[in-house]
Amino acid sequence: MRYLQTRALVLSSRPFGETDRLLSLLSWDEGKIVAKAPGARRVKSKLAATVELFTCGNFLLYRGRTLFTVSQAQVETSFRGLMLHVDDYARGVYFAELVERLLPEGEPNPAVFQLLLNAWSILQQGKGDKELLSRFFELRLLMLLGFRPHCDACVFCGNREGPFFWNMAAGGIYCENCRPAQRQGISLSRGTHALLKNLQRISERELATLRARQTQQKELADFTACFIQYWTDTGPFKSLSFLQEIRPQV
Amino acid sequence: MLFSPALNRLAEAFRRLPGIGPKTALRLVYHVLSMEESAVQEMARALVEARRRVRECASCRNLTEEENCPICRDPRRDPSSLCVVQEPRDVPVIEKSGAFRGRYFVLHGALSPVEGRGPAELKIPLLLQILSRGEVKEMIIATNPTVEGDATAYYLAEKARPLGVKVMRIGFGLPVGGDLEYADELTLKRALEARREML
Ligand SMILES: [Zn+2]
Ligand SMILES: [Zn+2]
Repeated sequence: MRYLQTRALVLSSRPFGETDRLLSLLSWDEGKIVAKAPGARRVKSKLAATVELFTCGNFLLYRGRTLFTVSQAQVETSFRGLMLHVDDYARGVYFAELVERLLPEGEPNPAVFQLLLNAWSILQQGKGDKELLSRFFELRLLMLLGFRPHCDACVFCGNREGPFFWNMAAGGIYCENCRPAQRQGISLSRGTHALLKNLQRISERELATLRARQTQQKELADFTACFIQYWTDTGPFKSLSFLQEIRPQV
Repeated sequence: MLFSPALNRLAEAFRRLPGIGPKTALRLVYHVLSMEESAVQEMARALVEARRRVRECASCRNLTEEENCPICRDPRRDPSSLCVVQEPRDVPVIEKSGAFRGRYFVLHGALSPVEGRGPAELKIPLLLQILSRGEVKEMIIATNPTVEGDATAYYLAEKARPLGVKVMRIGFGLPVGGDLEYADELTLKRALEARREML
């Protein structure tokens, strides 16, 4: 089987060689794969538009020794609308970067595929709170990949009433009473803890009406960032710092 | 396998250049060995000189050897029209089309969240400062018609509009996804003529 016909999302598309592009694709059938799109930077290339970031398309790929080569591609949906607002653009890239870095190569995961497709779509429609969409995406992705943070009760005494603290070394949340001396933990107030549990449970549709206080947003963002950093040993997420850079100016 | 530390060092140096793998690096190493020593010296001097002398033009960020580049110093260029491009190599491409007589601003890249390349790195604050002086009436954004190039264009448009500048975008004649530097002169001329206001 030298050829692979597959539905895929374009996670990243970088200039490669003289006129090619190197794509990171999330294939429905094969998971994360790397493919070369020959000549895609030429202005008259038939591939150019279909191998862009934020594309969901149908790809015919030739399986080479080290990487795939795109031989044909058709756009199913393009989320190019994300580029209209720099915040949406950065967030859409962040979602793709999370998948690209957390999902192991060559492991098909249709649920992750669907999650990213839905997230890009919600982002483009502009519905709901975008920070909460980010938290929802992070938590759902972690769960689908088997890294679900266990946050039901204090890991030491089983207490279910917050406020709690989180520390990666503890492997879960712990309450005020069980807080070890001098151990730094990320604080999770009662409200934030409820929001976290809510986000782990609800569907994308329910997300649209969810709102949260600024302080809860901040606590939750610190928590997920710390958790994700632990599972990715390849340095910080530049798209997250980018989001922070543009925020005060927007 | 090279049995000489000097050759190894040279091969390593070539490999730092874009698009050069181990095999090509070796081919270049053997070629350098076959050259006259004076020619090699000339090449080494050219490398160092270029690196030392060339800098960014203080007004447009294009590469030049002076404080201001020849285009910025040319009184015949129309100061009311400013064309924003992604890379220095895009300037000669647009110049060759002959369809533009204003000045330029070179970003040296497009906004890229994944590379962590934000507005500050592209010196967008400097561009906005130039625009706020009031001399520029029309800004033509000629970034690549890719997602990155378009996102940069929309960001610039949003920032420039409150300054009373008419913001135009080329590329409506250009197909989506390509790189400006591969457009031929005629295509580019048409794309510049067909520029449209970004609303
Ligand atoms: Zn406890
Ligand atoms: Zn200049």
